[in-house]
Amino acid sequence: MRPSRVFRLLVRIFILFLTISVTAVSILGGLSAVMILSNQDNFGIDTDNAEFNLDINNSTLIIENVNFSLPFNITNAGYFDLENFQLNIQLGLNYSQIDGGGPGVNETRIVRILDRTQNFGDIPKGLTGNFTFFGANSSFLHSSFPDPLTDIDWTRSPPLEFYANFTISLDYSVGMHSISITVINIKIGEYP
Amino acid sequence: MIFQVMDFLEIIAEIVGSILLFLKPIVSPIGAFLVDVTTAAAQFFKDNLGTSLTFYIVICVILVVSGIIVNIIWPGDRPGSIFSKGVGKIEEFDDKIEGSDDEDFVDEVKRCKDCGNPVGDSEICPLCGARQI
Amino acid sequence: MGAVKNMLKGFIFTGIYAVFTVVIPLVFFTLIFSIEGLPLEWEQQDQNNIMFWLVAFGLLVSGLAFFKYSSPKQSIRKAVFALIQVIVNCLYIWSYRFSGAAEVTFVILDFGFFTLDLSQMLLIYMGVYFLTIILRVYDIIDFTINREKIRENRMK
Repeated sequence: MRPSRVFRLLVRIFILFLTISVTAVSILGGLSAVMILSNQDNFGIDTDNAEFNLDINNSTLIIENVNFSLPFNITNAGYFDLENFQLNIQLGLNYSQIDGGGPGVNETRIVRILDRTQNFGDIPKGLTGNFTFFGANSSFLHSSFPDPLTDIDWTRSPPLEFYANFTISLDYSVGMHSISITVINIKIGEYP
Repeated sequence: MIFQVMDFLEIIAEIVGSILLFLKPIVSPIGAFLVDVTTAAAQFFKDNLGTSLTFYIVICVILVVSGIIVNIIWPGDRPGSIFSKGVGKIEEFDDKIEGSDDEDFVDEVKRCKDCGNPVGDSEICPLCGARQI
Repeated sequence: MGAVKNMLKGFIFTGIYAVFTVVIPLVFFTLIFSIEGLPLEWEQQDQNNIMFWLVAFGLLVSGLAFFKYSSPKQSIRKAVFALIQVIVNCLYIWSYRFSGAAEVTFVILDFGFFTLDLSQMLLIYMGVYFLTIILRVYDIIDFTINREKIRENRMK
């Protein structure tokens, strides 16, 4: 065999090796995803320690402070590290509109009061990541809040309801796969 | 058994993951370059040849037909072809002519084995009378 | 006899490529799009796009496969058409990305949706393809430089 053919054979073996590696990582990544998602014990939301604070001035009915924290954990039961794990929470406030100068009487409205993304980094394989999603007062969209005196129908039961959209996004399989899971319209609380 | 398989898969995942982690920074930029070139080419096809499959069917047929023609003319496994046979014969003749330049014209005439006198087709030499057998 | 054998080989490989690059994807996508209630987000335009480009580039790849596989071993024309075929194959693979198949969204009714983005994976496959293109160029150079020796061995 000519030396040029030997060199070509070596390069072909390298290319084949690389292709097999990529394919193997893809297959194992898919298998891992099934292993993680199929076991509900791999996801935990600590609702007992979840906090939602809403301070409204009783005389002026102005929202003075709002924040919330949501502890949760994820167990990476797969073969690869979970990279660039991010959680995005959109909070919506559902209320009934009164005839106080705003649009529509008795119309149910939902306004977005929070749209925040928090990056939690990587979760190595085989480990459990314990995180707390925190939405501080400054993260809230205060301009979106309805006027408590002119907009909100406080006679409705409950007057205020909070709904959330959760979006989890991460990279898996050595960065080859980008996954995004969005859960929409989950009711997380009410006030008072 | 299941745990052994899972352990084996974990080892495989470690190995291929490490290989890919090492090679990814080298291969990805090359891939990105090829992606840019391919995207430009694909855009060209989309803008100019993206309405009908006729062009692609015609090209496919041309490739097959021209492949058949080329393989008939130049099969590649023997020196001759329907066009190169004549060339071969001419080469044979050329070889013969080249070889004959070296021969002496005189040697072609039949001579008497005794005296060397040209005898032609005669069986008896006209000079010395020797019989040519 | 060599020409007949080569052409037969060419036809066989053209058939194989046509099945794998045109028929199977066409059948697959037609089935996928015809199943109602699947939690996949597709639009009619996406469907038309994918199927058009798969067939278009698949036809080119199949035609080139005939020329390549009907050529004698280690011949210059085989190397040239192998290179063109790999380049067209790039376009074929990229037509999946081009028509949006690299990002798939599954709708989970009344719950949300799940999106899988395979762009990075396709990027790595394209990197591997580039190495294959380099190899094909190397073949052309090698077969051109050593053509006399190759022809000698082939004629034996």
